[in-house]
Amino acid sequence: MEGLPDVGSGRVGAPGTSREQDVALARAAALGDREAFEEIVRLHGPGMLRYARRVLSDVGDAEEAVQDAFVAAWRSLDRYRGDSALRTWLFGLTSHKAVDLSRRRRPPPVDDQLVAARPADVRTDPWEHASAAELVRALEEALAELPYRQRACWLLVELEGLSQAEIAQVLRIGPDVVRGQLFRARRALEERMARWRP
Amino acid sequence: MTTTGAGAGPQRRPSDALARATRALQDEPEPGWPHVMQRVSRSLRQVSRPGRPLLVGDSADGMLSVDERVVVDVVRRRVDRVPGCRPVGVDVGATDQVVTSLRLEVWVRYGEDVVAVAAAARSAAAGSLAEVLGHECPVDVVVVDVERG
Repeated sequence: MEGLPDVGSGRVGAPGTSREQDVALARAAALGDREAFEEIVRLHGPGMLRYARRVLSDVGDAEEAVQDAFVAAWRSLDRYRGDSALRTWLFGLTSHKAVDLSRRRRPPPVDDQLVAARPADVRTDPWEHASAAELVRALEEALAELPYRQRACWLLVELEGLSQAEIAQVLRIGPDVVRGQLFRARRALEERMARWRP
Repeated sequence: MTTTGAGAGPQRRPSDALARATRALQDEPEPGWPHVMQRVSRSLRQVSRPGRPLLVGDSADGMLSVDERVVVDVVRRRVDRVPGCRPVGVDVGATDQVVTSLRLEVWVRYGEDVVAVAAAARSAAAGSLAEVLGHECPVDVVVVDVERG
């Protein structure tokens, strides 16, 4: 629109940005505006990739999930009416693709009870001098041990800042289930991290 | 973001280790994104969204049609150039592949003369339709929202 702000210039859909701008981009893309859709990809893609990479623990699968999610979004944008935030809708598509890939390619998740039952050694604090890279690696290893749904809930709330209600939409599960998964994920991660040694 | 568990049942302070690791993970860049962005862009160029075929002009010498998506895109581009107006919906009405009407939904910028903007949008849409299809048809314009820029 001439004389109106460029809706592609801000972080549309990111926390604190306008829902109106989000919907404007989606509607323009639904009408065939590829530039608007590329802006959606540019704004939301990094978060989707970050989520997919960590939930799948595989770079190749993550890239495939994000690509498939955007292709699905482009094909079905005319059905998006703004009932949920665009970001939530896109994460839902990513999650759906990630679950498909996970079922096809990944081994069954580790039994949470078995892992959680291991005693933690709290006599020393290896974290005191750990670098950021070591911290990240340790957390990634701990995340990889979590059951898929726990990992997904934790990533969406801690890295992407989604609310529990939004996570319920993304993962197509009930809010109570999200709450329970999140609680177990946090408890398990604390226990796993307590065992970590550089 | 923090790792304190709002809504996660009994409050449980996360360990310093988990909190520090979570912050480190939050701060980590996503270095693979430019490559994935290119991959996504390439794949999108190969994806079309086919619509209905719509007859163009006089078909006495054979059928000439244009995809509905093309019509929508042409209308969108033209209306998007109307100052203070943003097209957000284009619905083509057709019977037996002949376009009979068009419904245009727009947002108008706050403070604009809504009636004047809507009239300009209708004129732009009707003109682009006539150019693409070779005939005129009624255009309904609906201002669905006011945009605060």
